[in-house]
Amino acid sequence: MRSKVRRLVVITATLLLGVAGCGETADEVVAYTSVDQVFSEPVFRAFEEESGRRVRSVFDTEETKSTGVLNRIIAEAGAPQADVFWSGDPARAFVLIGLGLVEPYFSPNAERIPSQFRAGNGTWTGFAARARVLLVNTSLVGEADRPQSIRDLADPRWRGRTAIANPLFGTTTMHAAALFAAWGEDDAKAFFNALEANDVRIASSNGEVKRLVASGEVAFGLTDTDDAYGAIQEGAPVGIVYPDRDGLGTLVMPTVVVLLAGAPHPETARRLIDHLLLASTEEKLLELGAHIPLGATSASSSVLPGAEQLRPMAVDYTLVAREMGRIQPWLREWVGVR
Amino acid sequence: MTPAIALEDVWARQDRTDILKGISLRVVPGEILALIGPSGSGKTTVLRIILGLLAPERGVVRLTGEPVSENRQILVPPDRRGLAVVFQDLALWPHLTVEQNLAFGLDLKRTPRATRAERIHHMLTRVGLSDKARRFPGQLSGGERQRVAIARALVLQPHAVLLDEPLTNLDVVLRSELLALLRSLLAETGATALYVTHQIHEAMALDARIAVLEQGRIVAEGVPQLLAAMPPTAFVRALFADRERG
Amino acid sequence: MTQWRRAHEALLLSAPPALLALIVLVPVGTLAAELALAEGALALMGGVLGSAGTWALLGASTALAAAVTGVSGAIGVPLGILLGRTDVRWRGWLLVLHALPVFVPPFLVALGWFHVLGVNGYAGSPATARLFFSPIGLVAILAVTFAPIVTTLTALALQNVDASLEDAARVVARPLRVMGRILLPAVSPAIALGLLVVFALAFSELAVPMFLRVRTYPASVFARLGGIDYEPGEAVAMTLPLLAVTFALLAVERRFVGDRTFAVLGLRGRERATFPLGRWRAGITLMCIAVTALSLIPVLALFMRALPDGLAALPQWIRSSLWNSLITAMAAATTIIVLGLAAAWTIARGHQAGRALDATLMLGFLTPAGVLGVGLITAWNHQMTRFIYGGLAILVLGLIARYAVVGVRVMATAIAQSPRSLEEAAAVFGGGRIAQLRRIVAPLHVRGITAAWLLTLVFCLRDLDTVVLFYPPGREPLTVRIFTLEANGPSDVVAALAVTQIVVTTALLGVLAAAATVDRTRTS
Repeated sequence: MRSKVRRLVVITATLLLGVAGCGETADEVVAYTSVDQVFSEPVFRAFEEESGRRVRSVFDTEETKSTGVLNRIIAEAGAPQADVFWSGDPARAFVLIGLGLVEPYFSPNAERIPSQFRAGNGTWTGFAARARVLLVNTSLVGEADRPQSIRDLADPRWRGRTAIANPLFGTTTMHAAALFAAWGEDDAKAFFNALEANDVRIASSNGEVKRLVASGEVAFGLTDTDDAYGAIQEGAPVGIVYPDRDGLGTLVMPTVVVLLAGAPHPETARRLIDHLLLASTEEKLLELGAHIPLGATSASSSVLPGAEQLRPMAVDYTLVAREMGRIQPWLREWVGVR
Repeated sequence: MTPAIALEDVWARQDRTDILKGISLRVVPGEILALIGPSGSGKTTVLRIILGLLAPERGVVRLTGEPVSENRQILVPPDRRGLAVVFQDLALWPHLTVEQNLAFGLDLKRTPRATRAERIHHMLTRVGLSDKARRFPGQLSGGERQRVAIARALVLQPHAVLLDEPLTNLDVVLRSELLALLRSLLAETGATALYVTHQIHEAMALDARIAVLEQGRIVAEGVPQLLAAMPPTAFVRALFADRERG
Repeated sequence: MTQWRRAHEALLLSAPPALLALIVLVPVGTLAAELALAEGALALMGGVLGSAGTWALLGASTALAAAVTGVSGAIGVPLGILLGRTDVRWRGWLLVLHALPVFVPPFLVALGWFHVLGVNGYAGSPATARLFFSPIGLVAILAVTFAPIVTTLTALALQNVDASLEDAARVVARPLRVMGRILLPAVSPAIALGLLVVFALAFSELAVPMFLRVRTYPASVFARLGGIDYEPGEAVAMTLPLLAVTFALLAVERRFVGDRTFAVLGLRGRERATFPLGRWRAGITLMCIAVTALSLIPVLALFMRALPDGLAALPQWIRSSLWNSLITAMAAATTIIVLGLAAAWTIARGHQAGRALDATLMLGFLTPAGVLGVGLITAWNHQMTRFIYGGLAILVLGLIARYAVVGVRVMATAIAQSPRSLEEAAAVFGGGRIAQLRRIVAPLHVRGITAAWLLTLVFCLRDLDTVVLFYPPGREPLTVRIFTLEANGPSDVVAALAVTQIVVTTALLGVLAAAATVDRTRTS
């Protein structure tokens, strides 16, 4: 009788240990990323093929950011699981740096990235960027009338016919923070109040801005390059404007890679970071998701029409990250009153 | 003689009411005691206390002199009391065949295989079911199931067998047939029996001594003739009146 | 010797349920301890709990969940009556099809509706899209998704009402009266259970509100943990009202449901005389078909979206996720059944310890998935327990904590259907508790136990909210893969993955249905 019971116990234990056994091995690296899986996964696969090591990854997405890998990295800080965090934007990486959860690493391949997009102390390196652009419906807006600046969003001429995404979420938050940092408190608030007065549509996401422009519900809107690129691929009657070439410059948001403190597989982690910073990786991301290469590449940028006109805005990303937290309450109010 | 079953001042409570209020009973070896009482008088509770499925609130239960339950404590668990039972709903295990139903208890008592087979065969022959050994209870008639339940109890050769109104829901002919069978089986095995019923004629057919339970108390005890002559309560009087009419 | 045997037996019988309870209590308890011991915990809690915003959002979330519950009840109770006890045509099939969405992650249902109602959807326009991405859209989608829980429990309970009770009423009253005055009150614990489960599921739903961009309280707790709003102390403080909601739900469950459902929720599903609808029959059948269509439209939309390119690209994108889903769900379901059988037995027989255990397991189910997830990370992410946290075992533990109650309750319901005397007879004839469990209870209820296993398996397979927070790197279950690929992933591939999830689940449910209809001669 007891043997049967023991058999049940053994079966249960085997099942539990069996799944436990599907744990880690030495030849691998654990990468958490908030770059969309559809773009990041092929890059990891390429690294696996090249290095023969396995990448175990946890993905996060722009639209569902709050379930967040960032949350996990912080919650797991006591016994770190992840080696590398590849962030879709600089802000999240800076949260980790601020918490002391990052280990400096100077990758030899970082040399090809302009110094503006990487840390002097080796804590972070930016590459494969997205930019904040104006997506214009070409059937509604003639060549001559094309907006050239984000200030055109507040131009009464386009009253009620422009759109931005909710600034409480995603890259739009960062854009707002960059404007606060560049213009100062008063000018930035005045700009947002002017947007409000001009009846700018607040879409739920950058993807929604794309849909509004593509369908002609608005004349133009502020969105990310990857969404703009998506509209072009879908064959919508749209064009991309890299705004403020003559003034402030276009906000460029590099994806950022950091080596995490206490990484369980530091050696492979460094190799993965080296791989991410290769020109070929930037080319791959340009092709897959219209991410703009920040270092020199051999690829033509024909994927993104007009990208050669881009003049990056001078940004202190550390300052912008700090501003993001600070202006949250004001933005909440701004969205709330609308 | 040491009684096979003895209850000494046994009390039982359920939902803050006393079900049994100080019962004392003795059943001597080989005797059949019929416990008669109206619905809700506590008959089944007495049975469950003797079986060890329920602990008495107060009092002692002895089997062949040994205390097995005492003041809220079950000293000897049901499976170690050497008893057998036929429940009112028979409680035949539906997933086991007739044969397997009989084998269950023998198996757990580690009866040697040959002995076991022989005893089962003998018992099934005795109740007239030797050709239905491989059937499941669901494939038997009501009367056949009753026989299986009785056979299952007696095949263990228990010190005592407890029967809880086992013949309700049977027609008159079948009932007297089974009573006769039960009586001869008990005589053959020499088992002590406690037979719970509310039918006086069943008790008389078994030639049993009678104890009458009313509202948690034993109100009368004795052979039927004596009780008929001097009924101590209205219920007992009604019992015998029914008997005469029926 | 006997003493030793008793102790041994008691240990063998109580250890598995205790282990099960522990798996639930460890994450919840760890989080509660963290909450109590955090530095400046009181000040933070004061700040969060003193803020009007916190309560407004909690109120809004509660209202949303209540609205979902209300609409689900409004759909589920009448439909349960119609499909359970009237002569609506094809009612068996309608019930099965109507119930389909319950067994897939609600997020997939929302995705299906998105392909219908989104701007570029099959029936989409800017107006439908605006409605879709709004609290109204959220309530509608979750209500349509969860209503079958109420429908099924109502129908099942109505088929199990004591026949004599019903017959007695039918002699003196018209059918509508019998239904309103006798049958519905009799099955009210089952309806209450359905509504409670809907509320709990709607309240802890993360993926759908995020997809529809409707702010809810549980979602915003996690916003405090991720990204821009990062403030872990606040997040922990914000879980406090959630724990309060959890305990309130548990209290409601104890008060109105508890073990009362055992009497009305059999697994036998006896066929009963139906209430004839007469000349209304055709019309009402049509209405039932329309409601059932609501369940099928999103599934069809996903199928259409997946064809043909998405399905072709499937092998390239699915990777090991289906395997991860199946192996963890099977391990979790098997563990729940093996450890839970003794527990289910004590619960079915109404023992005190059983009741406490039942409440504990219910706590694991009612605790918002996110809270449970953070609790699991806090409890298991240590160097010493790395072998658990780093592998699929953590998923198994999480699924057990959340869904143990499903398997145990179904087994308990099955066991409660058989008379206690079967076990008592075994006790008298020499069987100890283990022998009773092994030789009587388990074989007697093989069908119920199989059904419990499959149902638990399906619940584990459909989970997203619990596991999304702590799935081991590179070993994501299929639901998580669909969820993370959804943003910017090729939508036909995402649809194809969703279809895979639905097909696998449906196949398992088919097995469940087959198991439920195998010959009943032995248990009759």
